[in-house]
Amino acid sequence: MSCAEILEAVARGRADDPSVANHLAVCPDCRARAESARALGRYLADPVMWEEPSPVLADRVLSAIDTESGRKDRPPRWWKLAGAVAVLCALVAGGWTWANRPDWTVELAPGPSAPQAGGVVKGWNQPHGTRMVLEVWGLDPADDGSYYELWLTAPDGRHVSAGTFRDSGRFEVVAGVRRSDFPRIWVTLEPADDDPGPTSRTVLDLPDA
Amino acid sequence: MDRFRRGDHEAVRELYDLYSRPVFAIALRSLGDRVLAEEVVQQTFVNAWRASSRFDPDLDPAPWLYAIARRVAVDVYRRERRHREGRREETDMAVLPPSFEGLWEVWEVRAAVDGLPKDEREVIEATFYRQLTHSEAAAELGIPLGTVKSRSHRAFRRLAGFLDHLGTETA
Repeated sequence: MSCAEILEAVARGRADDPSVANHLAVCPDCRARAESARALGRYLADPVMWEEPSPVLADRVLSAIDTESGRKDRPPRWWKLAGAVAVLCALVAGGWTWANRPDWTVELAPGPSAPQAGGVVKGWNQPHGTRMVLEVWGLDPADDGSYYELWLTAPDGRHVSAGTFRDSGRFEVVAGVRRSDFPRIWVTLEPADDDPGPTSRTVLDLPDA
Repeated sequence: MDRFRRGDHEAVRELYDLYSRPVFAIALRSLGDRVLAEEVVQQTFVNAWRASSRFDPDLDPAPWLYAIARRVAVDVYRRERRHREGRREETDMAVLPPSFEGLWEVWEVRAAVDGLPKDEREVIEATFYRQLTHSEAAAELGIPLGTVKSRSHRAFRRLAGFLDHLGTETA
């Protein structure tokens, strides 16, 4: 066996095989590299080396960056335009109104920190998360050093941030969780600090929250 | 990086295609939850976009993205722990569990595995991860036994060449 084959055998947990052990006994170079080969073998047997993120995650990342950058209408490339036309035709043929209808809509009531505010969230359930369009009115522009943040919260108190914004308006956001698991939707005014959780400054919330 | 900074979809997609799996791997290793790991991936690329004006485009983006991803994973871990245990910041929140150790090695191995040609990667996946023998892998992949062995040896040499420092660091 060559040194490369010996190291592969070590990585596969066969260091005690007589032929491998004999080689290691007389080859200082392989002995020096054996621990690295064992570590590589352990990593290659680890599921995290093979698990794939969901295929829609790339679109969620793009959407989140678009939302952050405040981009609304990006000029499509010609082939995307052609695809969009085809999809539009299909939607018209199949009933656009039905196809575009959100899976759910909730109204948000003003919270103690913004009694004049209001909002509506429309949501589309997707295989690996939720796409939402949030319309907010009556909020003052956030001061420098603060921003508004949309949260989804589970019954056990876990929070997931669905996006941030700085003023009233219409925003599209995507969250990597299902609304059925995270039923509460609410908005807080957040200081720009390192605390990843919501503060107690609620500006919008479900009426029955 | 200029195109990424402008939010150019193709540039974001290129960076995502190159690094999303290593980000996902360290997030999954550290948090042990697919939903949270995907949240880390999304937030990592958003944070990278926010910070891209401060990144030197002549540098390798991998260590930069790794640092962002690890920080996001730590934040998510602490948030989940706070909610699970119902308390605010405490001194022991500074202590991270063992799942956060050695994450740079996880990143390096995942990046190296993803860099293998597809035919070599599927042989390594079959024989190391699913623990198939070379003969079983040949039957499952529908290729000759000799081809499985040659691809396996070639892929392993490639990986070992990239990763000959494994087990010598505690990153």
